[in-house]
Amino acid sequence: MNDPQELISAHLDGSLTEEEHATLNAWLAADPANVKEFTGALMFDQEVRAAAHAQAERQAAETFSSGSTPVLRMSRHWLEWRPLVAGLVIGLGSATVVWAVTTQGGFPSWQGMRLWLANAGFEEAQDLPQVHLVPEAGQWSGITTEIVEGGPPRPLTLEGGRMMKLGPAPMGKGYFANLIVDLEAQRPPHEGPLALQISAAYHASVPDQDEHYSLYGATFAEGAAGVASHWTDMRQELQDHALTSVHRAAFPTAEQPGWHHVVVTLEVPASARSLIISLGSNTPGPAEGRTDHYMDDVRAVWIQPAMPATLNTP
Amino acid sequence: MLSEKDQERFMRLWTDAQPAVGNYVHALVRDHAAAKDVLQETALVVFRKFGEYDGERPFVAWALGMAKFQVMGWHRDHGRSRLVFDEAVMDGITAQWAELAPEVSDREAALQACMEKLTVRARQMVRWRYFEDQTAEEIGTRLQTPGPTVRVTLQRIREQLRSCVKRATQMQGTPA
Repeated sequence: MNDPQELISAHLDGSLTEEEHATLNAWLAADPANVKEFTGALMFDQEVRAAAHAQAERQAAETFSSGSTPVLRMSRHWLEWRPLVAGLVIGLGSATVVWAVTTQGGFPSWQGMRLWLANAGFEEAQDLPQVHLVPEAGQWSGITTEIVEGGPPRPLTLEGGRMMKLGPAPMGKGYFANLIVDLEAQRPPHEGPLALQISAAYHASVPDQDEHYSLYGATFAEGAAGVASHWTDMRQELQDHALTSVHRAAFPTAEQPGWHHVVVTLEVPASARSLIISLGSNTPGPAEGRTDHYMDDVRAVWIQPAMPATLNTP
Repeated sequence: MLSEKDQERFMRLWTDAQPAVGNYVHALVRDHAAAKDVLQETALVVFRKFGEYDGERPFVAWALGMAKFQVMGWHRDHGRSRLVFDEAVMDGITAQWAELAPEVSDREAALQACMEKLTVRARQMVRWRYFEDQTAEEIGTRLQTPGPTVRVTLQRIREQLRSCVKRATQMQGTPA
């Protein structure tokens, strides 16, 4: 590797070999302009780090903004020493220097970490496979589901520019949007019990028609392909194969138009290899009265099972 | 021993300089725990030598000069001398850092806005790399993608963000 850009990139990722480091050093020594370019890259890398931490903090705060207890806390590796001056206390008069060390507050750093969900805000326009479940993780699917732009004649999205549209479906059929998540790659480094707090937003567009929205989560010992094979026409067979599962439905009333959240807490056994998140909606009654439904902003956050849920179904 | 007035003056100057010095140390040490220790050592040295500080010089540049020796010393003490740059190169980086540091705060809001424009996948990769401190190989395992491919993707994301910030700050009349 001799390309300076590749060397800089490798330096930023901490993967430079000694030989490559020597090559980078020689390139830097050859021209002050190279030093300027390299310093700019180093500096911007630190800015991205700070921005990533700020964003993660903000997301955690938004997710739990309606919670009453400080259950979840993000990792503060970066933030703990950014304002380090606050910990530098000079004993005026005695001229001694005392360092106050920021602590982690007793919460494991993985608590509050968001599980990565593919296209969780539906901001990437995709053609969704029109099957109940695709046999691979990280792909939304569902009969009569699609990702659509928000705005008239549809509702405005809760966040971003797109959202999930469910239905309309034939009478007697529910509307579902489903996602398999590979848990193995994202399990926190924690040997004790784990849980996920999963939430999704729904738009109560016609609350006088007895519409309802649901959020279903389940863990499985099988990988994605095995799980997908268990979905028949309804969720029952899937339910029978789940290690743990949870389901909650929200029935908005006429006094509750607009966006709301439905939230579940799902225990995640050590043997769980995959997770299904299923969004559902329905409007009972004849086919001609059935309407479109919209859901958005799906999130899953690691928590300790003993922790009380901080959000409630509206 | 510094007078009470000088100690207060030190605190004011260090408060302003510490983010730039902290970023500099972290960028060149690239190990969170070690960088924290090096920064603390730097602060102590800067405090002890504050009596030698020439008030006519920019304090950030002077403090970065102290940090440079701490960073080089850390690499030397931990058997990483082959991974530290030559002193002349370090001098150049340190001088550039002092020159460019004032622009960082001007770019902060633009960078936040640009990160919101990334795809969900790119945002998640940024989070894994920069918030969770995962290596390209670890991210690759999660995405079932080779580490080198992840490195290239991260580099593209950085370039995308940098271009975005440059456009945004140029529109606002701020150097990027």
